[in-house]
Amino acid sequence: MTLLLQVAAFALGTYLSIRMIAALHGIADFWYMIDKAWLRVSAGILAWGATIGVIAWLMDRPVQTAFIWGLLTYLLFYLSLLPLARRYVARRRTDWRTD
Amino acid sequence: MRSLVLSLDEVGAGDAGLVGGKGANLGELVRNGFPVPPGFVVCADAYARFFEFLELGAELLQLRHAPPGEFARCCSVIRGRLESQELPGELADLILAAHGRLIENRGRPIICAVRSSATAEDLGAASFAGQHGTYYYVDAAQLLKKVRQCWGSLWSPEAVSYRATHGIDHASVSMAVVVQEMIASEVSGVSFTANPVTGARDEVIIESSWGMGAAIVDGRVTPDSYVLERGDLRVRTQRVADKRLMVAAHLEAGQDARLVEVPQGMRRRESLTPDLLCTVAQWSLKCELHFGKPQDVEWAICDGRFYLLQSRPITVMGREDIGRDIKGKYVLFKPLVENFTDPFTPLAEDLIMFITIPGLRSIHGWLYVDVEAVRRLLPFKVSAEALADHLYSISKDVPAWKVSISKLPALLVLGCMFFLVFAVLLLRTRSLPDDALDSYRALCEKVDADPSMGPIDALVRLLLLPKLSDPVGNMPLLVNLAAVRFMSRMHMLRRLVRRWAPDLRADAETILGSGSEGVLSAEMGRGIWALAREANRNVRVRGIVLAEAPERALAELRLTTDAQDFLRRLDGFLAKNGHRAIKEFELRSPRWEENPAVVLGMVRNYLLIEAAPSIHEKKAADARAELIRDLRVRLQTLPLERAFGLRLRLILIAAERVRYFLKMRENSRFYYIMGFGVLRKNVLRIEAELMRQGKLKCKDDIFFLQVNELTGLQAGPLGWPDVEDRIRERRIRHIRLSKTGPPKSIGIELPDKYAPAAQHEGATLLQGQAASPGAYEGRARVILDPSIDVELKPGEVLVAPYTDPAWTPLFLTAGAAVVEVGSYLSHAGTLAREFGMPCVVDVAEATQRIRSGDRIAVDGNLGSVRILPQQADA
Repeated sequence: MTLLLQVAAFALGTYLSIRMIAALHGIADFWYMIDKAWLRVSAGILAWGATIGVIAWLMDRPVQTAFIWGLLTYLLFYLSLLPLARRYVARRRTDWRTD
Repeated sequence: MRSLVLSLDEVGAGDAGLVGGKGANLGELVRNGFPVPPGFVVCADAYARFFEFLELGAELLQLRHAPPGEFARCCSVIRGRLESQELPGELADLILAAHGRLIENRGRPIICAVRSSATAEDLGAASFAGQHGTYYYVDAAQLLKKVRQCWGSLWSPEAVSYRATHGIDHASVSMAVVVQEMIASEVSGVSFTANPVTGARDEVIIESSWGMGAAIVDGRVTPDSYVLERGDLRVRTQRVADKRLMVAAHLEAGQDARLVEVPQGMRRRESLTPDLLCTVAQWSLKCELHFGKPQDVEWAICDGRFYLLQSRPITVMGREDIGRDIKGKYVLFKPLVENFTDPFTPLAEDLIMFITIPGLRSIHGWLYVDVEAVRRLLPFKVSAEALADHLYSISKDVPAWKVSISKLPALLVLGCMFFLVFAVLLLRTRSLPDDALDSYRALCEKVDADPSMGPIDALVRLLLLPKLSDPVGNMPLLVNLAAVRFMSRMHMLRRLVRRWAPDLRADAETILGSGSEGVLSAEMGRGIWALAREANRNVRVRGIVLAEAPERALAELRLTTDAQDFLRRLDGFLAKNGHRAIKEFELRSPRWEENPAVVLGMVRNYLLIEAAPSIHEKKAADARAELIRDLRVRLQTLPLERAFGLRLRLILIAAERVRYFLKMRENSRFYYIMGFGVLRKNVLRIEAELMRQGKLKCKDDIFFLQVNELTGLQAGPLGWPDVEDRIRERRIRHIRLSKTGPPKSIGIELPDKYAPAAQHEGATLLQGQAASPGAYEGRARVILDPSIDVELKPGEVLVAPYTDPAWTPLFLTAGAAVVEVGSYLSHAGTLAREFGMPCVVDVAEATQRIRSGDRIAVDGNLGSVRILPQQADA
């Protein structure tokens, strides 16, 4: 049962990480009109941040750890996407030159 | 030794082994009294002797066994020896003596064309198109060098690998060289004694332009085009092109390029008088009579006299021949083709392929979807044929395929990965404001201003990889990708409507999903309409725009004081929309900011019609409001609907989502086309530099290079001689493919519904795809270019090869639209639905099968067009 709960907490952590990152992207996405959009952007960040905080606080220790692992794993995965894309593009450019 | 060089009148059809196919053909024409410019042939034996003299046997053996990495080097060794070594004295004397006789007979110095005439050119299926050298404007001083270069072209890597592919032994191939006086023509062109695209034998096609003919053959200029009745040589249709460029016969003092601008007054003037047109057709038909099969004839007119430059059998490259050697199953990727049917130029193709998603492949410059690759990814039991049909038709209908259980686990993993990668993007693009991508313009300006960026750097920066400090970089493409969600939302809307109001009109979802505010291309249309209104305010401005050709009108407006307000508005419009173009995915297409005359052409189209676009918009809005009222009434019979209105609310939410994602799709395109505009500017800067260095000779040639060749030219290892033949060959191939158009599928048969035409109840039935509902019967008006043929009378049916925003004004007066390419989502379909007119797209060869004035019936529900018999007119 605990294992099942931990898996569920990990998945929930992943999902909330996605929501949080999307909310944080709002800063860059709406930077050009941040004077008008600051409320919407900060509301998104605060809402998802608070949700994450409250859920983590309510959880028992082993489930909480799985939840935080879910959050961090997706964050790391997401952050690795850009360098991976860069490497892929660089490799294609090299292939192009040697054609 | 005498037989090594022969005058053209000494050879005939049976001498192809001695003088090559071209030489034999010209000799045959001279012998039979055709007006061929004088010349001589350096026979294939001369080449054989020279090859022997150079003792190239060891190099040939090395080439036969060369590994792929050494192949190009081995070719260049043989080619280099042939081109650099002097000819044996006796052979050189013979050639120069024959040239001397030509001059003597003419009584003045002449320039010659030196053309390869390979003996293998006769080998059935092998065409060797454009692979062997041809040199123009050759004088006595260059003659021997050019003959050697022709021989050297037999050993270019392209020609050698072509022979290897077709199983032709290198040692068996030999090459004669034709040296012929060049005619300083005032008009030149090509003619076909049968339609090379449709194969129709009752037509003679003639294309002509000012100056020398080379530019027509390799597509540097758009020629005037005439279709004549074969029987009485009556002109069936004619199209006078805007002939901006010509190849001058003589170089003026201080001039270093032969491709020059055509004087303004001659641009839109017919290049052939009716008498000359008749002469050209008659000589072409005489060629056919002599050779016994349809001919492709190159000709020139000098001092009013007709000269025959070449006559060869028409090599009809039908669509079915394209991609015949390609393995696999492919179907045309229509979202790109619906904007124009020409293939991409090599440079655009290279750059586009860098940003496309896996599963797409470029075949001869057209993008195709790999059907098998997509089939492997889908969790359905579906045949390749059914999938190809669905991928090709891009309809709003969802097929009823069965789920494949065995594929599910792997696809679940793949689906999870997809979700993890794209989940953030999907959330970010759920409710973007209309101006969300506006900061992309600033990024474009920044990249454009950075001289250190090459086209690939710019491509990567603008369309692929964002920077943390500038995250908008790849957003237009990503938003475009994310907007594909409109399909699932449309499906949801359809299900909701059909579940609760099954008897509602058939096009209800279409109407509910249209009418978004803030669609940038629609705003662009309104901008052009506003320009037309501004022009209408001033009689003088209106007069100039209507009376003059767009380029001339623009020049005149700039000199007119009254036109300053109009010009200010035009500049404002271009500041926002100047990156757009006709055929805007193609880098070679000039943007509106480079050539504002195109916009002026559209303004002129609006001035010619009375109806404002707002009338159509209001009509569509009224239809939508009416439909919602009808829907509400129908839903109110269902339980609890009167009290809560939940069902109607759900339907309207689904419709709003469809509108939102369709808008994002259209608007994101507005921005990434801006990125393409920056790429074009970047390429043009490089072109100017390479032309200054003499590494390129002609404008637009750069688009016929591949990216690695471009970098080779920039960095130094490549020069003009290395790319000259490739560019010419690619230009010729490009123009041939443009005329043929892309095959819908390769390696797989599409259902019969895509067949070009059939007879049905006395009328010719053309089948296409329904894009906007309704039925309409009226006179057809075939329009090939919206900037030239604009006389569409109210109520006529617009028949077009493709459409893009430049065609919008014509939709205002048309009763219905028939388009050769496109899908439900194409510009024509979207616009027709907005304007509430029937539209059928993807009608194969519509512009050739339907003639202006034909009475046609368009059925936008069934996706069919019927050409009614003449007696139906009564």
